[in-house]
Amino acid sequence: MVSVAFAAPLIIMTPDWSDLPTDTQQVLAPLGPEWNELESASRRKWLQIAERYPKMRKDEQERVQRRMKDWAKLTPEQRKVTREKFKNVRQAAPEQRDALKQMWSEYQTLPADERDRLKQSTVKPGIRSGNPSTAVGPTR
Amino acid sequence: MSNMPDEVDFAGRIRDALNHGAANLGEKTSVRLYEARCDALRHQAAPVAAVSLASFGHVLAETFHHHYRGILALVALAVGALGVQLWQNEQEAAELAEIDSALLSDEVPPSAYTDQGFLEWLHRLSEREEESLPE
Repeated sequence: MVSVAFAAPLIIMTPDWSDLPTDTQQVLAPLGPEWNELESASRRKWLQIAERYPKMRKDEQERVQRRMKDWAKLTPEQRKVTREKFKNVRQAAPEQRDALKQMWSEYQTLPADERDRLKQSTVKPGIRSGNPSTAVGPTR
Repeated sequence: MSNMPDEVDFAGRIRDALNHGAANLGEKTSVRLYEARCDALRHQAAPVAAVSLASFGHVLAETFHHHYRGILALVALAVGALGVQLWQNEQEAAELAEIDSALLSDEVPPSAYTDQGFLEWLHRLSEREEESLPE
């Protein structure tokens, strides 16, 4: 069992940025600067996302690349909360999912100061759970 | 102190006698002495290495012979545990990759799910809808 303890980190280790194939580097380009600081588990996940990437539509690929850097900057807890909420929405009826999409689009059209007021109105003890856009945590 | 010169003189005579004897050895005797000296030197160094290597090999062989079933079982267990660990890692990565791919590629961005302003807006909209419903 001692041999496992020594061998496991070597075998389970994931490649550094310079060891990645060029096409994988292109997909994960936004993560390039931080890649070597990512944990092995996180690297494995991103490598699997890179494998799925070619099967996505063009607009989906663009979204993934645009969002991956901010997503990696969230804390594990923030990612967990977001995944749980997303899972709930995914399980909802298609009409409800479409409604959420529509609502988000409408919310984006609100003036910035109104959106700020809405944000501020929720700043009460015990209500706010953190702003992901400003949170800094272990990259993943 | 007084007998020192006599002792030195005696030692000198012995030395002369030995030198004389050594100088007059036959060739055959000299060769045999030389070979014996070389042989003695060879035997002096060899046992150290031979003993250490032999004993290490012996201990290894004895250990394996007596415990080989246990050692093989331990190796199998280690390989198995490593395999399970690798499989679990890949499974976890696959699950996260599946959900993250869907989340990141969706039309609604991940930030929407934790945007306090958006959540508050949705909350107010649903409250207004409830108020406007006929009783």
